[in-house]
Amino acid sequence: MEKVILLRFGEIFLKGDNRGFFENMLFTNVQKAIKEFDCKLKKIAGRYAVENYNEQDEQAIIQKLTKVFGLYSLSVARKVKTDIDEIVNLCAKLELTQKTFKVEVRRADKRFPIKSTEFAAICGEKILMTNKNIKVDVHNPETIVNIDIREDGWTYMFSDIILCAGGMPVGTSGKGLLLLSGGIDSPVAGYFMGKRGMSVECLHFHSFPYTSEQAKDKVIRLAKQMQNYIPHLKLHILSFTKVQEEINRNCDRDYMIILMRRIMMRVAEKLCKKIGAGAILTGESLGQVASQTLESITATNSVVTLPVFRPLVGFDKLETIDIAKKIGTYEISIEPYEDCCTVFLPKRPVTKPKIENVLEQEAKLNIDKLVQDCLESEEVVLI
Amino acid sequence: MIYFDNASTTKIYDEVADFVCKHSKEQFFNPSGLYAPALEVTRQINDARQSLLKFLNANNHKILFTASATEANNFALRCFLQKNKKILVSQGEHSCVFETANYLISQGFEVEFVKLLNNGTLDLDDLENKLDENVGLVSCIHVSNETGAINDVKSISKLVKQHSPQAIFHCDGVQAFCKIPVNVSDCGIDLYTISSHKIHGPRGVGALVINKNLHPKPLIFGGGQEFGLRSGTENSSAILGFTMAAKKMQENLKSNMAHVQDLKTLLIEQIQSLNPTINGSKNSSPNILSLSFDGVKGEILVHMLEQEQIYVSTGSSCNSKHSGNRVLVAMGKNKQQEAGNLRISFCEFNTKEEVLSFAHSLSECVKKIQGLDIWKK
Repeated sequence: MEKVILLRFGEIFLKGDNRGFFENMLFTNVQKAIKEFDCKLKKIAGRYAVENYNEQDEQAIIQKLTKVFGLYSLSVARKVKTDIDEIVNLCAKLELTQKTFKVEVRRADKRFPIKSTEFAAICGEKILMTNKNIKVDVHNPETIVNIDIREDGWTYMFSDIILCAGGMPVGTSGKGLLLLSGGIDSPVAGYFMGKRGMSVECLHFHSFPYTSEQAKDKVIRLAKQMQNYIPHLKLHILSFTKVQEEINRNCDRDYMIILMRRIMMRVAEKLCKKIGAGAILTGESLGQVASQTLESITATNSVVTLPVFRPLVGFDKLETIDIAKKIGTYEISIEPYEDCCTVFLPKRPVTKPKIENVLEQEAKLNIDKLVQDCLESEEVVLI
Repeated sequence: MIYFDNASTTKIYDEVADFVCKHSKEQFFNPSGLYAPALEVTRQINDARQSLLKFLNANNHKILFTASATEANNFALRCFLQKNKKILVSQGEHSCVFETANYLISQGFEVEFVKLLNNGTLDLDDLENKLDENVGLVSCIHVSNETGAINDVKSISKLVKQHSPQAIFHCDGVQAFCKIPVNVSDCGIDLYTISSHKIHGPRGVGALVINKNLHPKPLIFGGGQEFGLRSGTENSSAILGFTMAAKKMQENLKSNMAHVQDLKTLLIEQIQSLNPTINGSKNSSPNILSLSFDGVKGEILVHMLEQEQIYVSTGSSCNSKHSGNRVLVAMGKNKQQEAGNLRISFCEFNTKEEVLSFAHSLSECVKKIQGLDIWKK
């Protein structure tokens, strides 16, 4: 008898002919997630299994696996040869702590000679012999002993089912460039796009000396934390100082934010083309701040042609915070280092910018040059 | 590189660094050992105690080594508590005293904070109002780590003994020891905190000077080191390095003071045209200068200067993780002056050339930020 971790797929089940592509990507991502452990990942019919791992690594492996998008759930199972005596013997050794249970047998291997319901009764009886204080309850059991008889000649026995991150394997839905500010929202936005299978690279605008090295370090740590969910996350850091100084020098300060954001979007689009990303991702939520009103979003969106995904657009702040806490970015995001948007903050930012006014302000800047200079300041951090 | 952040920490003296390294390799023996080389280390530590007490003019005191001044201040506030007695703490304390005081409040102790004058020194009238027979401990910083303001600890001590005869007077001398003359006995100080890394000594060692008539509760239990008050194997090499640095600084105290005062005066002269607000009194410690410039955020200034390898701070490093500057607020500074604070702190290694170069860079940066007009709208 050997312990294995059974992994079940999420939405991949809905796929048709191209299912293999999704399965292979998931297999690669799972492999990456657990590469630090001495173990073996195997494909078995319709699922994967982690085998030959050290017992003391079990919890750490499970922790990693629950963060792999594309996995729906997992179970620690005992694996035995599909043999009536072996399975029944294993049942006799089971020690259950609950008060009620039932046995469910799934007989994928139709060569197994006993029907599922009958075999469940046999196994249940064995379990009752070992565990004197437990009863069978077929309607509302505290625990279910699952016996999975697979086609490959092996049988897996498990009870607990641990939910994983769900979604689609990262790398199956193209690549997006996430504007990562250092706040609470953007890492959560990245998380959601990763969940839909998108590869994510991040773009951070740094504004030294108006913001500190600590602010940059914070963003690097945020990206590292996001990497638990999104493998191969890359972080691009660009200097935004000159852009801010130029806007400040030449334009009406009340337009600072909208002008900054329009330039950020232009820079992001150029960077997308360079890295082969097909979408810009932001953590904007409708109406949350002045720059996220419908009018402001329209004004910032109009400078790019690539799709802009805003997965948090309908989220309340508290909902976002809950997820940020769950994925471990919240504690980093609330560190008090300012990001580049807070330094040149106008007292009364324009909340409903008129495009003709914005264009009038932009006419005072050499936008193309600012965008180009900004791109040239690139620093890539491989997380 | 121009390093003007000596109130934060100092560069260790070369000879001290060499000594600490050699001593750790050759005389690494645990002072509690029963063999001769270990006894030799014990003897060295005891000599160090006597030297430091002498430098501090502490005649009726003993000295307890700790791992930091923060630890010594914690010890001072937490281990000398008298039953049902009130604690008075100045609003100008370093966060290790201030936060310990807040902890004591959370534990049900009565703690009152004594106001500051707008020059950064303790408001003696407010102190006098708050002193009574129920006060068991008074804690006041000697030289402010934020502004360099020097408290008249002798007068404070007199007031304390006059109105609260049973009160213990603690003084955090981290920014005073080896920077200005200190006379613990003459000032009637019961507890005095000092630190090694502020005086070109190694990190990881501080000390609390304790009036011999006091009987505190232990801070850390264990093998009974440091009079049974603070167990843990002595950091002997660092303790000796600390004492060695103190000796050198004491010997050069007068000339060092004159030197850093000259630098401070020169800098103030050089930046007159920028109209700085000097936070704290003119009689502040010769090595610390706290400034604010109209419409300039201190943090931005620090980063701009950093680009030219000039290192200064916006105030206490131990506050950089909190927002705002509590001490400047207590001095009645407005929000702009508080956020605009820049702390420049000198040491003997600094030169006039550095000051001139710094003043030039500072002027450029201040003008640039003022030109950006970040705050005015």
